[in-house]
Amino acid sequence: MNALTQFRRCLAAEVLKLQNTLALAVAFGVPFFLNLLVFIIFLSEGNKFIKPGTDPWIPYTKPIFSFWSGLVMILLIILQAALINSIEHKSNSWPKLYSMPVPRGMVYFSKLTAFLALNLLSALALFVFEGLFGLLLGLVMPFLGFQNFRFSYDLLALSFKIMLAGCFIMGFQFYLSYRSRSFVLPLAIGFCLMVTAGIINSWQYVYLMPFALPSLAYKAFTTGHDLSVFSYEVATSFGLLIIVSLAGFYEVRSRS
Amino acid sequence: MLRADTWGHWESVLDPRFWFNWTFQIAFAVFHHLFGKYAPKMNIIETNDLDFHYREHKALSNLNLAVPEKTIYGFLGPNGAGKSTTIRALLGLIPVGSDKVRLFGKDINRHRLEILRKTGSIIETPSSYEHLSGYKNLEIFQKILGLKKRRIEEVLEVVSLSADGGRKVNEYSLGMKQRLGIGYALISDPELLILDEPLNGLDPGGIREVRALLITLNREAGKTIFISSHVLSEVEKTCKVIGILNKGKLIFQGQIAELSLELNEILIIKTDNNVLAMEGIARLNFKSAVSEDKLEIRINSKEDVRLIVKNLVENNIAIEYLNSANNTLEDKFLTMISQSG
Repeated sequence: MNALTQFRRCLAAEVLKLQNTLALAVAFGVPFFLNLLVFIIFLSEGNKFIKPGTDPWIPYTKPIFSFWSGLVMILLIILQAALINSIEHKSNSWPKLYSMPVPRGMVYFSKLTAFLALNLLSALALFVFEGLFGLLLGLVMPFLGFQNFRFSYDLLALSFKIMLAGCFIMGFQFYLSYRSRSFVLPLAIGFCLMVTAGIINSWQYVYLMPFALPSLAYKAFTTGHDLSVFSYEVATSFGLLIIVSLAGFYEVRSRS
Repeated sequence: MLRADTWGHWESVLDPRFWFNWTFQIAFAVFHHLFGKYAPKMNIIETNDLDFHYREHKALSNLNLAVPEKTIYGFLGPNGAGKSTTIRALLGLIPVGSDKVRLFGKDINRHRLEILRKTGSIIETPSSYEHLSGYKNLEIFQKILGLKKRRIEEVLEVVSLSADGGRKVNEYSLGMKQRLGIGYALISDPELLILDEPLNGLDPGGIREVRALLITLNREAGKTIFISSHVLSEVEKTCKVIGILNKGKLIFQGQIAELSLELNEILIIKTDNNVLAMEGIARLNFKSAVSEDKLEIRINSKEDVRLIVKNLVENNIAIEYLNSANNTLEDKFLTMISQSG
């Protein structure tokens, strides 16, 4: 049996464990809630934000992506990492998992992959809900002009770019929650780092703070500085994800 | 025993080697059938001077376990004796030295995955994902192990949970959770089951069910079962071989019958002068103690009764009451624990 088959089996088990969990619910619920809030604001005073004759999708999606990249997605990652690992902590099933005929690293990587996939789903959900709520706004308030402009797939690219720029946060928070039986401790650490990233947002060396990378990726995209998905922020975040995941893998392998 | 390829082509019947081979194989099969049960059993679990420290605390000290194949081995000990630590060491969950732990004749460090493929376990408490049904919980392990789906139904039937497989585990009683835990251990149809306190928290009915299940698995499926427990009476009823652990040290290991042989009978006597009677009995080198107004004397045979009664009569001590009681395994266990410090 090769490692890929083993990995596929472990991943299938991880997906099964997610059934009926809060982790799965928030993956879709949080993007929905953010879109719903912005929808309500635009429903009440959309004409304030959209100039007649201009593409309404840009002012409509701007607050969504802004909040998503700087606050909501990071909070979601922190929460989801804690939730997905609490499935094992709560049921005290680590010893059972480690006594299965599967390499320990496989347990770690399959769970991490399920977690990354959940975040990918959230990024996709954000894009889909943006489109749906935008179309609904177009139906309810035709004068805003949503129906006259194309819902660009660039928004999907931006959604994925922000998500990829958050890879390090995912790897880091996942490791913390995997290690700690406490639900609160990884949340507190993540929250402090997120607030720090927010405070130093306009500092010239902000790019050194990995928790600020999603926000920087969004800025680079909207200012036209870097329109590619695989930008500096994404590459840095991805590199850091690999480092933190390997560290987690070696730590888990040698852990008793 | 008989290999199909022995048939070969029909011309081979003319070859004397054909007949020799067949004769040998039939003779071996008959011999194995008749005398196989007397063949020495291999030890499925072996530990060699196993030590383990939790920082300064020595959890296991020179532990030498020997669990013969196809037996139910009871691993007894009070709480904190090191039973769960031993189980963790057996499953490769804590670091141990090379060749200190051998399962199926192989070192756990070098052959961990190969050993775990043949081993099912419950560690500390059976852990279930309570937000899922019993069926889904088993499906998780079925997926990890790459087994066929029908194995889930088979296991549910073995642990008598077929009717409740669709219910969420958080609706299960403790007994059902324990049985489901045994189900996880059984799903890969392992040769060896290592069960940490599988009878913990069960009511008498549940204990009887799990005990019957373990005995069936041992007798009918030939599984070797290693159970840790402090429920002494259950170990006595279920296991053939036991090991007693106290403060990380193995203070007894052997057939339960051997331990029973060591059990002393207790002679209970009430006399008109217990103090004088005790002095006389002490002179005969019997251990005695006063309980309420009766003397309890440890004896080894009926001859001892005769000696004691003769001594009392010779000293003009009137016997008002005389009875005997068997020392139970539990008494013996507690004595051994207290004697070992």
